[in-house]
Amino acid sequence: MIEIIGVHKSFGEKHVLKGVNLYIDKGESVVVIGGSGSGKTVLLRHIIGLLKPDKGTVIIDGVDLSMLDEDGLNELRKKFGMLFQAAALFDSMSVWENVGFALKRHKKLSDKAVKEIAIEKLRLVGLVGSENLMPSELSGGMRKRVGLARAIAMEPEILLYDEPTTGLDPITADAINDLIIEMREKLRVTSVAITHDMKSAYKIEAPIRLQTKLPCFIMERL
Amino acid sequence: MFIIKAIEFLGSLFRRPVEEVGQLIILFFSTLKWLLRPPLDIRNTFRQMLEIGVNSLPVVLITAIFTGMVLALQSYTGFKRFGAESLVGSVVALSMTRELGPVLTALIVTGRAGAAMAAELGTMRVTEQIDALETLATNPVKYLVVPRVTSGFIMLPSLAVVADIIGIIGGYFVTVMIFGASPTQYMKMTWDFLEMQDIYNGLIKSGFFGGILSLISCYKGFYTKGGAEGVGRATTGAVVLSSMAILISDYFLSAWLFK
Repeated sequence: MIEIIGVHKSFGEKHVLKGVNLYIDKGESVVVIGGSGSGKTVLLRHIIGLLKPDKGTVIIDGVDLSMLDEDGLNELRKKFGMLFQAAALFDSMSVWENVGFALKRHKKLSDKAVKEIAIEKLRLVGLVGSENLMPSELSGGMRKRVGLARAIAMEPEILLYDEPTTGLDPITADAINDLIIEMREKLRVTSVAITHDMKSAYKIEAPIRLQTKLPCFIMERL
Repeated sequence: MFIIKAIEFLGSLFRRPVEEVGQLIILFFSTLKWLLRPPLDIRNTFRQMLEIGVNSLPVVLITAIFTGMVLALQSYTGFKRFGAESLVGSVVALSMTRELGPVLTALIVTGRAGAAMAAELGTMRVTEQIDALETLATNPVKYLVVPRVTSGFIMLPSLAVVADIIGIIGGYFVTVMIFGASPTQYMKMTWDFLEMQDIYNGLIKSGFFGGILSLISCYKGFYTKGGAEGVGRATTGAVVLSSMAILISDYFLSAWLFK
């Protein structure tokens, strides 16, 4: 379902990805671990087409991303949900507007219908009654939950998690890990998480296999 | 060896500006492309029109009235030396409609709304909100840049009309109420020498300034790098570059429109 073949990426003099190969099957769950600057986020951004490889190919569901135009890429991105490191919530929108953003734009639903779905998704991530709050009123853990609710709003087939527990206290981080596992079990999606938090990595994905040929390590369910 | 080093040094001086111009041109064509592709985000565009136009109105009004007043004050006292006080109405009207209305409005909106645009988009860039838009299958140029540039293009002429009228009223106040000139003569001299073309051309300049200041401000915000410091740099850069672009293009537009 996700194929990364010989991907190279450099930023100026810095050669970040050096021929990365990775295959993730439909419904599989993978955790990529590695230190800061090892190219984990860069790898994740290639999967969703936010970055283009200097060399190599990224194939999603048999489609080579480099062959897609803007519209094709946007169409493909509707299959994805992504949770950003700092949640990346839209400051100017309330919680439900954040969660329902893609629904409103792509499914042309009424505000009432969008809000109902948003509340349903917020309930899934354990945030009942917070739909009218603004992002500035939320704690770090709540922001991640809203980010996760936004990521699952369009019922994606692939979920990407960029450092899901970074910056959170251990209890909240544990709750987010539980939520990721819950999403995987409930929604049956393919998921790719990147982290440098080993505890989180082991919790999300165990047992593991390490691919040490990469600058970062890939942990896969065996 | 020395020659190669010198060429490298010269190249490094020009590389960044050339890159910036290239990126700005790409953003301009991308904005044009997405502007022409329906649907236009009406709600977002109205929100930007409110921000750029309506919310800039108080500061534009104050600037315009005092500009008209000081123009009348300086013209009246200066023209009095050779008995041409009656021309003050014409000077104020022509200066406001052809030049000061459009340029001052554009500079004020740059300082207010342009800086806000760069800061907002810059913050969205460094907090990954623009990347989030892309992951939600939304083109950020269409969602963020097109409504701002459209609003700038529409609202600047609207603000300039208001500035023109208020500036003329300010001139009237000083000439008639303070210096005691004849109100009929002031109005007659205002209308006698003012042609519709002066107003139209002023508004064309305003539309251009509105488009260019929004585009530059969006560009600076959109390509922000480096956290809070980068947002600060982008905001300053947006105001400086937009102001320069307005003043430089003003000369060429005036030379073309008022020849």
